Amino acid sequence: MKALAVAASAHAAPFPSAFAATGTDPARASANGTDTPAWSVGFDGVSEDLPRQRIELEGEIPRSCFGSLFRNGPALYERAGERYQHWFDPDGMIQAFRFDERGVSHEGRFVRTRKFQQEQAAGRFLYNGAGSLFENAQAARNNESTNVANINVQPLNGELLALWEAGMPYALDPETLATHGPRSWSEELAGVPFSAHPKFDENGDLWNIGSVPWLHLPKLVLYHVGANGKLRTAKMHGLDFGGYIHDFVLTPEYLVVLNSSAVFGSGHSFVDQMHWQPQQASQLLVFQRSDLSLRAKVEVPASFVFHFGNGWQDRDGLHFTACQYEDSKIVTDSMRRFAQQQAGATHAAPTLVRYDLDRRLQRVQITNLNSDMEFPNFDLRNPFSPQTLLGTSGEATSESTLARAISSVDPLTAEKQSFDYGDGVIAQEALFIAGPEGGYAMQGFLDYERGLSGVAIFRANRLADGPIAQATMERVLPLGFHGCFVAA
Amino acid sequence: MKTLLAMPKLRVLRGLQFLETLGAAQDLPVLRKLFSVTAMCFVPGAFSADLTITVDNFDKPEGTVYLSVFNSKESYDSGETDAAILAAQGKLRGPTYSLTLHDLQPGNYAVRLFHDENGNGELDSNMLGIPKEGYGFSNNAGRMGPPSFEDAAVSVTDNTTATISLR
Repeated sequence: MKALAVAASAHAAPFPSAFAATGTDPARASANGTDTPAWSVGFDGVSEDLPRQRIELEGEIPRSCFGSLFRNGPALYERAGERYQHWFDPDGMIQAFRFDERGVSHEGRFVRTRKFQQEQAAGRFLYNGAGSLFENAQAARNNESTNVANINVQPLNGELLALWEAGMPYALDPETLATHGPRSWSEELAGVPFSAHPKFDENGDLWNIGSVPWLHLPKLVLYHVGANGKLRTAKMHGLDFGGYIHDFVLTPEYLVVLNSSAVFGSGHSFVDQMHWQPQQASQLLVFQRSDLSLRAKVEVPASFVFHFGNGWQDRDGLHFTACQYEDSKIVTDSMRRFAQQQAGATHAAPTLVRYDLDRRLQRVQITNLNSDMEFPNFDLRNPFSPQTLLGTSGEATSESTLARAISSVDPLTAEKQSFDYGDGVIAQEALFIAGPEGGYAMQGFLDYERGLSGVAIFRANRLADGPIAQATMERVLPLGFHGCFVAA
Repeated sequence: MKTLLAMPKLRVLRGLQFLETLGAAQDLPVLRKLFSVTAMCFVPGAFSADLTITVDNFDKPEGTVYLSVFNSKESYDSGETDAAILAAQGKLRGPTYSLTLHDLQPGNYAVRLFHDENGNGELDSNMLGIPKEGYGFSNNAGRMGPPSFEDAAVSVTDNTTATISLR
């Protein structure tokens, strides 16, 4: 284990020795003859399922980490010479890393959405994407026509749900990753958006939102689904304006939603319709869990947030954290640029902030925690206490403008720890794994200099020490979004 | 007439005079014969152009097709089946569905239709009003939501075929 400590203290890519021979050039020649940046291999995509294979392991896997890490993300980028133009769009593939006494294996399988199956049969793209337009795209029946189920994967009642945000989730088999089909909560809710960020409460019930900003009268749907996978209640609310809403906060009593200032208007594609409107104050909407009614509406400065940390309540009021952007360029510019494999800097890294709402839910204070963070995660056993968050960071010093570090931040003291993988590595979402001595952090990464994908395991409260175990393989996985860990 | 309307394969709700069915599933010689008679009665003008509508891309080769043809922006925009020059329903018995309208006056005609898969007589939609079953418009017009009359209108000056791929 001595080698690990050396690698960590040098802030280089951990465990570099084993794979030093393979590599990719800093700049690659693309199909159209121009140079594409080395990191863009993370956006090459794959066209076939990836059969299960055992992968190299260094270090020792803690028993608490025996189980499966499932990750979802955009994976199929091209058909018949045409390419998606936005990171929102490529068809979703579930990556499964399975950890046990014998080591680590990996497999990847596309979610068989209706769109995937139709286009697979046609051998070409049939529909436009959220941010991609194709020459001979055919009219979409509804939002489900373009559901690519590519944002998140979460467990529910023995199945996995591959989640999109503008349509239904697809249920999958956790063992085989085979697609069971779209999961509708009721006849009326079939095809109604269901966000990619459902939250579990203390009883294992699932809560979610569904945002419908593109209608003339924008709507928000709230869901309460039992741990048995059956709908308990759903309620639809009108919105004052159709801001982009991706995630929300669950607290013991409330669901908190930020109606952002990226407001839907005219445009060719869903993403084209998103217009940053700094003069439009964002709104915090607080809904009562007991009856899904609107309890409070509070104006906050124009902001854009993909992801929230957890929320808690105390005698002072309601609190939560958010990874906040200055504007919506991450969606309208950067995510296009990534998918089109172009270098450049188009958005400022998100900053972790804490929102404190008073007990009457009228006044809000926003505190900057002075850390850049994305993909915030926390100990799911304690969703309603002020928890140290795990996330990705280091965008500002990364040539890809994507994260290159894992960090943890205390939401009360702003105390921070991090580990920088170094040049040539992109850090993906980190998950908290319950275990002894403060538990573990498990994080997927892409070492694009060496052409490796892998998973690193850290002690959650000693990130700066570097990984205690790491599994890598010479499969370059497309960069993904979110996932879950299911213990063995 | 009563017998005709009760026929299971094709039920004309309105505008019988224009209609003739085609294709294996809708080949109804009796109807065709009666049809020419009514057509002669109702449209005595010298001008005669046919509009053949062919529909494909059904989710499954069964169920009922509801189809309406409009000849003006006003009637199309009203959304009312009563305002259509032809409103018909027919059983789908294969991968495609066809019918021909005879002896049309020259002009612009817009077709809208839907596929009633579960036989409840409606285009099923969810709580947002978004359709769940297949539907379509002439010219395959529109992307999300219904197209304008102008976009969906087919100009009929001579015998014309409109192919519609169901969304």
